This record gives sequence, structure tokens and C-alpha cells, in this order.
Amino acid sequence: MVLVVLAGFGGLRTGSYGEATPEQRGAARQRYGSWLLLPAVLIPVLTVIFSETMKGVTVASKALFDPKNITLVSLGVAAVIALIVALGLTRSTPATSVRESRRLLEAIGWAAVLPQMLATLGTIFTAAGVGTVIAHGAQAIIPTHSLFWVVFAYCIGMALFTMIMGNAFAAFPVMTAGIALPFLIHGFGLNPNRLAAIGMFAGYCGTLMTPMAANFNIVPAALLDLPNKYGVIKAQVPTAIILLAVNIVLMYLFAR
Amino acid sequence: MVLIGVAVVILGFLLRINPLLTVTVGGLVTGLLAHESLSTILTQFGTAFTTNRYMSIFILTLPVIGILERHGLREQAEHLVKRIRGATTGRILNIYLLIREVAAALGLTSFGGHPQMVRPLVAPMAEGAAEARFGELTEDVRQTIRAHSAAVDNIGLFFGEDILSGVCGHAFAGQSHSPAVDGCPGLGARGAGGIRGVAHRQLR
Repeated sequence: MVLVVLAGFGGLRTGSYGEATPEQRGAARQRYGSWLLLPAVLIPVLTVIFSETMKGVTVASKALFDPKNITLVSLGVAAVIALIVALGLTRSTPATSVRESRRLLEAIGWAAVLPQMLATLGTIFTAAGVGTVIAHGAQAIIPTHSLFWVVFAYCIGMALFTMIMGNAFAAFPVMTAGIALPFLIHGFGLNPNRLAAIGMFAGYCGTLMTPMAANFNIVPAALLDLPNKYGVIKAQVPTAIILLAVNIVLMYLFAR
Repeated sequence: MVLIGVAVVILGFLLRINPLLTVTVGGLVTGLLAHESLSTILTQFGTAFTTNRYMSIFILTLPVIGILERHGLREQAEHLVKRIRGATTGRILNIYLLIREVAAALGLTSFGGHPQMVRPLVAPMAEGAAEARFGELTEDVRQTIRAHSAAVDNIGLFFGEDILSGVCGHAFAGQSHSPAVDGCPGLGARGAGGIRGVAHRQLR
């Protein structure tokens, strides 16, 4: 809460950390060349390798990597290994890397804690019953005799409610139980598997358009130094709207 | 009544008030309107904040990326791309979209991501390709290119992942007693796998 008050009223400034000048970076680049790419590529590659191979590995009958969070643990280990490689390659001290990551983190600024905060908000919305209110409201206004309009309402509803919750997985059970199950599956006899798949896609279209999905839409804008925090969303809106329309048509035509 | 909380959040975003502030106030308002005590709301904030710690996992990769950037990683990515004839911003972004989408469809969702791939590699390459072709870029163009670099990562991930894994299962994970499950045949084993699956996915 104190964090929020600090950031909310503009109490944060970026510090200065003796950043490398462009000339220094250019000289370093010529020295190391494409080797620089190695540690960066190591992170995703090692993460994938670890999460695939470490699944069943046990030490003293305990799983070496927590099986519930295997990707996260793998990412952590991969980051550590890549850091060691990067330090060796550039002959930097660990202190430099701490300073550099502070620089990056401060460039992201308050947006770094936003995803966690938004997930919190989603939980509170769910606890307060926002979803049921919306599903009931939607039930009251849709013309239930028309397959097309129910499909339309369900897909748009998924997208809109996902935009509010910031995550399609929170919107899906509510909208599906509220609209799809009574009207589309029981009413029109649509295939539930296809309906669920396309319903989720409709939700993802919502994810592309909402600042509530901060880890996908707001943090990257900060990471790429975009002055407009909504720049990424702006780039995604056309894709999202076209795909939403396609999803509606697909569900109407093929989900029987 | 609880919708007032939603309205607060939407209004906050529209007026471009600091999102962190908007979200907190929205949460407080929603909780209070649902007749919860202040301490219950604070507890919810605390619990949810800790269970969602994994969302901040990207911070782990920052030391590596930071040190590489200090030694010219982004410049090298730009430099490499300028030597490839026929490289254009659109082609680079399309290729990355394809890689990201196929990898995600094979379940390799951790291949990619904004801090590890987009900031240090994809965005500089896309910018480099444009510079090689058109010379110095205006600030506007540069930002549009960066925004689209971030966008392809999201789009590839979202729509790639569910091609293979079958949405029904993991979408219902954690909701196994919701009435909707009855309408979802073929869930069985996949549902159980989905619960494991969803634990290490970033929700969206």
C-alpha cells in the first residue's frame, strides 16, 4: 500500500548509474561480436531443455525441481547459468550486473509491480461477484432464439469481461456457465469442445486490448522505452478486432 | 453495485491516472461495496499479491540482459540484421511471429518473452532492418516498430499455445465443480493435466 501511494503520486524518479556511452557500447560490440547473443539465447533454450528433461529427476526421493512450477524453476536456473556465462564472457563483476539490472528495473518503474497488483484486483472482483452480475445482465438482453446473436453475445462478452479481468481464464468459467452452457450447449446443441476453444480465443482478443493484462501490454511498453504506455495495445487492437470477428463467424459456422 | 468498482478502474485508465493507484482504489471500492471489512480486503490484497509472485519472474532475467546490453547486445543485433540483404521489418516480425507461434504450439511457451527476446533482440533487429532500408528513422516510426515487436510476441504466444494443448482442459482447471464442466465431455484426464498445466502458465 505504501508502494502504491509513493508511485501513485509521482514520488519515483530514475536514479543514475554511470550507464555505458554509445561509443563504449560500440567498441565493446566490436570486441565481442556475435558472442554477445549467446547468453541471451541461452536463457530460452536452457529453460526449454530443463523443463523437458528435469521432470522426473529426483534426489533422495524428492523432486529436484518442484514439479508444479517446473517452468519457473527452469527459467530461474537458466537465468543464473546465462548470467555466469555473460559475466565470464564480458569479464564484468557481479556488481556491474546488479547495477545494470537496477537500471533496467527502474526503466520499467512502477509498472514492474502492476501485474501482481492487477491479479489481486481480479481476485477481489471474483470474490465480490462481479462476474455473475455481468453474466446475468447479458442473459437479460440477448435474444436467445437466434443462434447468431447468442454466439455474438458470448464472444463479445468473453472479450469484454476478459478486458475487465485482465485474463481470459477468469472470464471463461463465468461467461461459459452464464451464457454458453444454458443457451448454446443445451439450447442449440453446439459441440462443447469447439465452443470452449473458440470461446477462449475470443477471450484472448480481449487480452490484447486491455491495460489490465499488464504483464503482456504495459510492462513491455516500459521495457521498450515507449513514451506511450498504451503503445503496445494500440498496435494490437486491429489484430484483436479482426480475430474476434473471425472467431464469431467460426463459432457460428463450425461449432455444431 | 459491485460494478461501480469496475467503473472506477475503467475511468482511471481512461483518464490516464497512474494505473497502480487506479487498481488499488478499484479493489478497495469493490470490496467495500460487497460489504467486506477493511481488514478482509487488505488480507485479500496480501494473499493474492503473494500467490501471484510468479508474474514478476521476468526480473530474474534482467541481470543477464542488463550486462549484455552494456556491452552492446542491441547494437550487435542491429548490426547483424543490416548485413542481411532482403531483411525488412515486416519479414523479421513475421518470422519471429511464426517461430513464437510454432514453439508455443509445441508447448515451449518459455521460448521468447519481452525481457529475454523482444527488448534485446527482436526490436533492435526490426529497427535495424528499417534503418538499413530508409536511413534514420523518425521517433514516431521507431516507436511503432517497437510496439509491433512487442505485439507479435503476445499474438504468437496466445494463439499458438492452444493449438496443441486443447483449451477445454486447462480452461476448466481449478473449476472442476463448476456446472460448466458437465457440458464438456472428454475432459477427464485432460482436465487433470490441465490443472498441472495452469499452475505454471501465466494467466491471461
